[in-house]
This record gives sequence, C-alpha cells and structure tokens, in this order.
Amino acid sequence: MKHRNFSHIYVEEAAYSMSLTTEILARFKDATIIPIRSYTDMFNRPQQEWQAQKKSQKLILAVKNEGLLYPGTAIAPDFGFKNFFYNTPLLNCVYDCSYCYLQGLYQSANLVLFVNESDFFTAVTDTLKTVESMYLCISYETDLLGFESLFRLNKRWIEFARTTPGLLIESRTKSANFNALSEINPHDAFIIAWTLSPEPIRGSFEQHTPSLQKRISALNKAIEAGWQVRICLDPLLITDNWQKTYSDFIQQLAVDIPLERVRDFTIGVFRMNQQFLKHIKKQGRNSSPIYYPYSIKNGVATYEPELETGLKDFVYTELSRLGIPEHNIAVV
Amino acid sequence: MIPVLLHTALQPEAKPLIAAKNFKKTSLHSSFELFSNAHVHLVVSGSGIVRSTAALAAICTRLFPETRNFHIINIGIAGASRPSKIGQLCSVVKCIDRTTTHEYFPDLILQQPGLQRILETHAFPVRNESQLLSSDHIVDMEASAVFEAGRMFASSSRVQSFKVVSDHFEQALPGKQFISDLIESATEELFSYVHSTQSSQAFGTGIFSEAEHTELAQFIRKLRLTFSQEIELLDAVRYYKTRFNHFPDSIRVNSDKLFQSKKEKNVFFNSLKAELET
Repeated sequence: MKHRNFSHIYVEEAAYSMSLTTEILARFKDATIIPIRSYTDMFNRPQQEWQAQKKSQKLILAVKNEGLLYPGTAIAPDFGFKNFFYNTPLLNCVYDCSYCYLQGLYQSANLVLFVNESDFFTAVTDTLKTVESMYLCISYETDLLGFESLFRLNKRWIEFARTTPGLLIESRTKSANFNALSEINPHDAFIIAWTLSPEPIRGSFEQHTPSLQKRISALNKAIEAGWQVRICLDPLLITDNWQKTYSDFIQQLAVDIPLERVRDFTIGVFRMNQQFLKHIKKQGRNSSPIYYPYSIKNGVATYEPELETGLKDFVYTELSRLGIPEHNIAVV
Repeated sequence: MIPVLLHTALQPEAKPLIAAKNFKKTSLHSSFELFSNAHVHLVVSGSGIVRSTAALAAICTRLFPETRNFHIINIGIAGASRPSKIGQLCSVVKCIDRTTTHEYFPDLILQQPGLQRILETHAFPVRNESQLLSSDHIVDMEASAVFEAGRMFASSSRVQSFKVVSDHFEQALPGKQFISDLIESATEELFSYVHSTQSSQAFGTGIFSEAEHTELAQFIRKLRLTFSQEIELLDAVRYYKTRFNHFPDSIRVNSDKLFQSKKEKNVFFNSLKAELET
C-alpha cells in the first residue's frame, strides 16, 4: 500500500520559526516530520524517480534566500508589459501533465513550499521602487489554485496586490478549485489564468487534472464574481486529426463561456528547453509528446516552423472568427 | 516482477532470511556470499561502509549490468537509546553518515513496517549514547553506504533500510544467535514489504519490455549505427510505441537486413526513422 500524499513533511531548520510553517504543520497533524538542513539535500538528490514520487508526493518546507524574483523569459508571454517578472513561492505541481517541463527542470516531484513569504513580498516592493509598474507571474512552476485549500497562497498575493500600486499579478492554473477564492473580493490587478485543452488531449496527457467542463465551470464562476480571467491555449499539441480537435474545442468554448467577458487569450505551441526534454527522456516517461521529433532552435525544442505556424494560425483564426479582437490574443 | 537485492552486513542477520525463503547460494562472486531465489537476491557484505560499498558495487554490476530496474533493501541490527525496545523493527526515514555528514533520504512511497526512525551510520562501533546527534536516533555501520551505492546502480528512489534494535550501546556485542533471533522476528513483515515493492505499480519499468530491449540492442548492433543515429532511432521507436502502444514491426522485419555500403545503410536508416515518426 502506498503512503498518502504529504504523509511526510520535511522541514528545513530555518523554516521552523516561520508562521506559515506552524500553520501548515497544524493542518497536517498526522504527518511524520523529518528535519532537514537544506531543502536541496532532499530535493536535489541525484537519480530520483519522478513518476514514482508522483504516486506519493511529500512536502518540503523551506526558506528561500536568493532568487525571490526572476525576470520573465522569452519562452513565456509578457502581454506587452515592459517589466515582466515571475517568482516561485511553490515548486512543483499537484497535477501530472506528461508534457510538463517541471519534470525536466527539477530532479524531484516532491513539493517545496517557501515559507518566508514576507521576503517574496519585499523583493517585489523593493523592485517596484526602481520600476513604475510590474507584471508578475506567481504560478509558473506550480499550480497555486490547485493547492489553495491547503496553502492559501493566492489569497496572500491578492491581499498583497491590493496594497501594492503598480503591481499586476497573473496566477496560472488548471484547477477547478475556484470555490477556494469565492469568499475573496475580486481585485482588478489579479488575473486568474486558466489553461484549457481539448478534452481528448486533457484525457491523454494531463493526468489528475479536472475535466475541461469542470475548468470551464470554475472559470465562469470567476467571471460572474467579477475576476479578471485569462484563457491560455497553451501548449497546443500536434495529435492525429488536430484540426478537428481544436476546431471542436474552440466551438465548445464559444458555447460554454461568455468569451466577451474574458480579459484576453494566449496561444502557444509545445516548446521546451532542450536540456529539460533530454532529462525527461532519460526518465523513460511513457508519453508520446516527449518523443515527438521536435526541431531545436536556440536550445528550445518545438515543432518544425511550418507546423508551428500552421497550428498557431489555425487556433488564432478560429478565435478571431468568434469576434475576439486581435489585441486580446497574445501569440507566444 | 521487479528484482530485489537484499543486503546484510553479517551472516547471522542473513541466516533467518535465507531460511525463510529457501535461498540458494550462488557462485556469482568469489569475495562475497550471494544467495538467490527467483527475483530476490541476498548479499552478505561484512560489516562497515567499505565492505558494503564493495559488495553492492560488485554484485550490482554482475546481476544488473544494463538496468536500473531493481530495488535494494538493507536489513540489519541497530543500536538505540533506551527506552527503544530490543527487537523493535524500524524503517529508516533519513540516514546521516557521521563521517561525511552527508544525509540520505529514502523515498517513502510504499508503507513500511515498523517505527519510522532517523539512522546514523558511524564508522566505528558506538558504545555511548552521547556519541549520537539525538537520543531518538538509531545507529548502524552500513546504511549510508547502501544508500550511496544504491543510487549509483539503481536509483535514489529504490533504496530502503530496515533495522531491528539489538542493543542499548552495551560493551558486549550481541551474540550471533541473538542477532538471528531478532531478524527472524521481523522476517514476515520484511518479506511482506519486499513483495509489495516487487509487485507495486508505483515504479516505472520503462517503455520497452526486456525482450524489446534485447531486440532493439541487437538491431542497433547489426546495423552498426553511430552513437547519434542510435539515439535518434531509440527516440523514434519510443515515439512509435507511446503512440500506438506496440513495438514496431519494422524493427523485427528488418533485423536480418544486409547492406552493400554505408550509403545504402544510411538511406535505409533515414527511411526507417521517417516511417516510425510519421
């Protein structure tokens, strides 16, 4: 029999004194607590098995001293914002998408929660002294809404955004857990960005994620509540009969979502750092998107230019046909 | 069935395990005793870090030369402070090598028997509780070596250590029969864990079966592919199998193909790769 998720919580020496640690340990009273010197001792061990660890994820509570704010990368959309940053308050995800770059970025599938949240906030306010505005993505290397009932990180960042002029936050998710935010008053400087995929693609490559219908339902609740909502059609994947798959999918979105009330859309095809992809292949994951014969350009694995353009153009045209203005569609 | 390599330091630790599963002695290596029964093997290394590392390295390279798809489980006795009960089975959740200060963390995916404890591996016998970092810890002389060698030959996620408390750091060493009796009392729980490890679906076995691995290796050898061609072909076959869920016939059909020239071979290779990727 397997251990349940979070059956063991590894706590860094420096994390014990943090209030978030106390809060979380109180929530997981039955967990075995294992002291560690540094989260890297546990998280960065060589030769770990991602897929096995996904069967029973452990939680690591740690303090992050460096890298509290990173400049955005060209591989992610900046929506025209000059000062584009991201941070990593939580490493790794509750879901198990077979195309996910995290399995190539990290040695471990276990979760690391950085409990020194005030340092993350300070890094943002300090940077805002040098730039007049900031676009900040807080859920790139995780899915914060998926963990919202446990860690309340979105809530903390929403409250921070309310009192921090010039800050615009995006929290990207595949979760249907909008109820965890339903008690919070919406704030225009906080975008909830739902990644949506056609149901056949979700079923094949997005293990443990909520169905498309459940995500749409959560997204609609957020729109009704007055939140800024973004739809991310990313990554688009080449599969058998992909034209019909994406055409049907976008028709479904048009029927099920009041698209005119969606703030904006992003489109991006599968792309991954070449080294991350190499690492995932080495792990022997049984998933076709990993072994697709991608072309490599500037260290990034993606589809051949013709296919990439064809896929993006197809989805872009389908969205445009629904009357979505060009300036509301960002193509990565 | 995923193979398991059990490791004990001492013969009295191994004795009840050998008896319980009717292990047969093999002559695989002259320097270390190795016992086997179907998919479970047991190596007796002798005590200490160096002997354990040497034994595991020697046996892993012989038993599993081309795969990491096996588990390593260290079983043995450990010292502990009072009030730990003599005979208490413990599963190790963290191991501290007291010489290097390196810390090892087994992946706790399957439920283990016994109490969960932190273990210290010392280079010399511990005769006093004050030598421990914490009185809650248990002590042995091998586990850190098993974790280190285990990750090199299998993976960090496939090494576990189980200990039975044998003493409270008294001067006199536990007797051989006493050690065997202690391990015997935990044998049923230990083998139940071994069995759950072998049959668990938690650990991936890779994309190809053993037979497919062999078939591919022979094909690559016959074709005398370059290293980069070999990587490309493996990716193409993996892509094919993950899409269609079966091994491509074109590898079998062409396994005896002969080529008149390098150019002819390269043309064939490129067309085969294109076929697999389409």
